[in-house]
Amino acid sequence: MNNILSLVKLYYTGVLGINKVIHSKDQKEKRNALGTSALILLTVVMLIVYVFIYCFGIADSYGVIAGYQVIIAMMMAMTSVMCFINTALKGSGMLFRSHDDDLLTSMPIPFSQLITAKLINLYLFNLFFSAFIMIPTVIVYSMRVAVGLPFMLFTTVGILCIPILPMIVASGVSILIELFNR
Amino acid sequence: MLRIEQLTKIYKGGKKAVDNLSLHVEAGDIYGFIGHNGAGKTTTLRACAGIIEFDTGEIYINGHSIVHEPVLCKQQMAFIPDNPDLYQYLTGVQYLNFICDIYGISQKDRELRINDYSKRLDLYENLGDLISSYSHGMKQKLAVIAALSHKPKLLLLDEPFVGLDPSASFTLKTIMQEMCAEGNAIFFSTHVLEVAEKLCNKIAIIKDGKLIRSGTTAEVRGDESLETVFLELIDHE
Repeated sequence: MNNILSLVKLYYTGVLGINKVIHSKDQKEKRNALGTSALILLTVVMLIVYVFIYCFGIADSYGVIAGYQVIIAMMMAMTSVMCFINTALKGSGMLFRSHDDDLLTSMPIPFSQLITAKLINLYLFNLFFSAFIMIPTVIVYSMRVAVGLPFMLFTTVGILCIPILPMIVASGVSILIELFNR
Repeated sequence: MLRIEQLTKIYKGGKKAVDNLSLHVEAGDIYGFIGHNGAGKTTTLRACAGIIEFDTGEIYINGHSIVHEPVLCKQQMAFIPDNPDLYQYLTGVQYLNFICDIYGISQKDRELRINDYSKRLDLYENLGDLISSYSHGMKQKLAVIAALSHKPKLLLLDEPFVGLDPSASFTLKTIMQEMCAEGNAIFFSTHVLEVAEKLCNKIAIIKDGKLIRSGTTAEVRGDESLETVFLELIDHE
């Protein structure tokens, strides 16, 4: 378990280039890292704003006709497709052709823990995307429909579960592609 | 410490990288592994480190099979590749802490060892810097410190002196001798025959995946220099 935590922590230390911003002594590299981080954050903010606008649009058109739950259903479908594409594109490299494969396989980490850490990494990556889409969606839905605590609980569990199925299917596809390539 | 029994590794396409190779590295040995490019040195070392699977044969680390008890074997050894691919976005000390976390090294021990080895290898001042800013030699030094931080019983090194400055090379050789004096073992590949001749108590020569000569340095060399013996063997065997 400690190994898995160490591996997940290792992968996320590099996320958004924050570690580079903090530790780089080269001003140019620091500026580049800061620029990259800012660009990523801006993209995320734009994505959230876009999701809000889109959800209000759906609510005002389809929502009135088909019921406001259509907002959540549509955005869940969109998130699932995104998670599937993301895992299919990144999964194979992450699971089978990572640059640190040699280093990690030479260390006393059971293979099952290595794979678990990589899957958790993939899951968290997908979860961030899901959250950026689903949280604004739920906010818009809550503005149109009075929701209670049970709804919020189910929605939280739902958001946590959305990436799982597309991830399993896409990882399966990646494994099959890898097996055919061997 | 390390027993390789009839190791054979065939790559995709049928190339036999290692062919029925057997050798024993005992506690206290500094065992040099020499051969021309593509002879099978790196493949053998990677198989010993448990990085690649092999077709036939067995590899034992301290009596444990690398195939059947990989975690136990890897707990007792360290492998340094010729071109360490480290995490560029980490600082040196973050990387070393990650390695120590994996090997379960206590805070006190890791501080002692990291400070000691980094000072000796002249990397102490740069440990807080990002690895992306390191030169090849500095990365090599960091990989050496990481490998030594968990006090391995067996150290596998692939071309360890490439990229190291003369002072770091000397320090590494001293550290290798100290390790072996403590009853550990080192198995390393090199192209620098002078280093092998002076540093190793045993040497193995590999050609086209086959072990063509092995034994104590004096046995392998005979009355000639290691360079002469090596060139003769490579040309005529």
